[in-house]
Amino acid sequence: MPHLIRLFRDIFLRLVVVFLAVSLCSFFALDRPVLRDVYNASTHFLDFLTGLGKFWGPVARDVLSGYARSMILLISAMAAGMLLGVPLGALVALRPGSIFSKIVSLISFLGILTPSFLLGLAVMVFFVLYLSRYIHIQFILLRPGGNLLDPRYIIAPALTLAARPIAYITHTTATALREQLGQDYIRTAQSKGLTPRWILWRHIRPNVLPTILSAMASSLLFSLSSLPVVEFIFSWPGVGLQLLNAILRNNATLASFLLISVGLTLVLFNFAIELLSQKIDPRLQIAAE
Amino acid sequence: MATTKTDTVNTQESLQGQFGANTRQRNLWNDAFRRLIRNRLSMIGLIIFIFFLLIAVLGPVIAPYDYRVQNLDRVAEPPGPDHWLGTDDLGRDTMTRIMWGARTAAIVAIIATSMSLLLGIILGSLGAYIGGWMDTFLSRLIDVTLSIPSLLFASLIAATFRKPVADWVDAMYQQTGLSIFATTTYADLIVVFGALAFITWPGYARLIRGQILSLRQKEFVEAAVTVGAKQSRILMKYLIPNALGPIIVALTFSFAGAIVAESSLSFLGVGVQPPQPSWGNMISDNALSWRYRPWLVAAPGLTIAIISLAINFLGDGLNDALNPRTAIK
Repeated sequence: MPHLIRLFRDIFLRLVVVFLAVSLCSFFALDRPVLRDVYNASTHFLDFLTGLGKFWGPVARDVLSGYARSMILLISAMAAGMLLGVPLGALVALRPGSIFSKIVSLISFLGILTPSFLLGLAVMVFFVLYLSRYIHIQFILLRPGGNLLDPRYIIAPALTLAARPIAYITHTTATALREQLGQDYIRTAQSKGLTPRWILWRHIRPNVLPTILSAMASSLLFSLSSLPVVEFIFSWPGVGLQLLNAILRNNATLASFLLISVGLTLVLFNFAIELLSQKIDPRLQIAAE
Repeated sequence: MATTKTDTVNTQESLQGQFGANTRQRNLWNDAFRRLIRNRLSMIGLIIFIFFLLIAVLGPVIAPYDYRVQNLDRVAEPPGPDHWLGTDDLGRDTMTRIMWGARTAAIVAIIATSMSLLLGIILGSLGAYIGGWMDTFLSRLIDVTLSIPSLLFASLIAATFRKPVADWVDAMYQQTGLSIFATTTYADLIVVFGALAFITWPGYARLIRGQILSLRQKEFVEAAVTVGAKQSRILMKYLIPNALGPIIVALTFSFAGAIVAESSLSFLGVGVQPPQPSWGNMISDNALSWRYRPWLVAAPGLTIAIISLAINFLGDGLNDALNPRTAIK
């Protein structure tokens, strides 16, 4: 139980800090002189706290709809990261020195480094120039009434958002797997005459899985960071774009709640990852007991 | 007694014979420099990086045009002999604006990394030296700040603090009349630096805290304490040189990160404001006309990509050179 208490304390502290930082920003709320603001800070902060009830007004609808739309992108990006990154990384680690693994390593290196707005523009150019004539759709400018669950709309922003998770998870999987392949227990297992598939599944997988899970957590952080850029480029009306608009329109309440919703997502996801890795990793179970 | 002495002399002579009479002094920095030179990719990175810094310093002198002047006779020209990278929709020379953008990026990156390094050194060493509840509090703060999506948070900070800072600069200009307060350009840059420093300090703090804690346990530091070396000597001769390598590597990587983050913020419109040129706002200004005038987007975009790749190669090379034991082959 103590690790659960520690996790809840972490969650609580994280939320408090996100909340305080957001409310700190909200009383610099954009249109008032800074010195008078310091004087008004305490009352403003109280206003902010008591105004939490107003959340279930028009702000709630904006936040929730934007949140749902961003989740579509994030979930598909993370799913692509897992489904492509892990097998690619495993292939790279199992065939060291081959041309395939060199190419994949180079691409994943570039994918980690490329700024998301450049990648977004490149994806946009590629789709408009080469793909839109086959799929008969304008990829970039999403019409307000468009069906957001249509995969043809999702694919371009989700691809941009997924680039970094795919690259990072590939890289991490390859590194972790290569490190495990050099360990003594692999040689022992091989000399016992176990098949390579059995070794990979029963001996290596439990050792690599916690690393991959933590790589997932940090790639969600990357994706959330580049969310405003990607949504801005593809006019996707999610949390990031709404946040930018709220900032430009001096709507501090909306901005605060959007940021809190993002922080909450991250905290809950990290919590889930931590619980999962405690289930999987025997070392953590022993440490917790 | 006598035999021991001759032994020593012999050993010394044989060593001198082996390495030559006047061997160059081997220390960490010489070795690291030799290893760095041998790494071809990171030398290319170093050359590009030095070129970038030169442009940032000399750009305004060697730039062929003024970055603000609009030549409406020559609007949206493709690259040609007069304008090597073409002109934008207002007839401003793209190459000049990229040179000035290099200066903006360099100023922001240098000041943001040094600010966050300063914060990281202060908070990290505070946690490591004081320990106890202070360490717990600071480590928790580091964890929390690292877990906030950086670009969202930086854009919120940059956007909310711009107006108060601009008001403050205006008020200062009213009161003092100093020319430095006449424009809000500097205020803009301060806001961007602040936002970037605020999201990047925890990396340094964690690194420095870890370095100090692990180095204090090392045998050579204990030996120095045992033979009675002064605290300042231990700090200068043992702790700092050994901690410097990882910090320099982290500095290099976060320099590239700061350049990319500055251009991302400017791309979103919450960073450096026009007419001050920045690679990010050059891209967003011209993003809508990429189909007809692709060079306007490609020039700043490729510049950012090349600079960030070059600095990352340099950082990899420095990592291999300065931390040979931990570098993964």
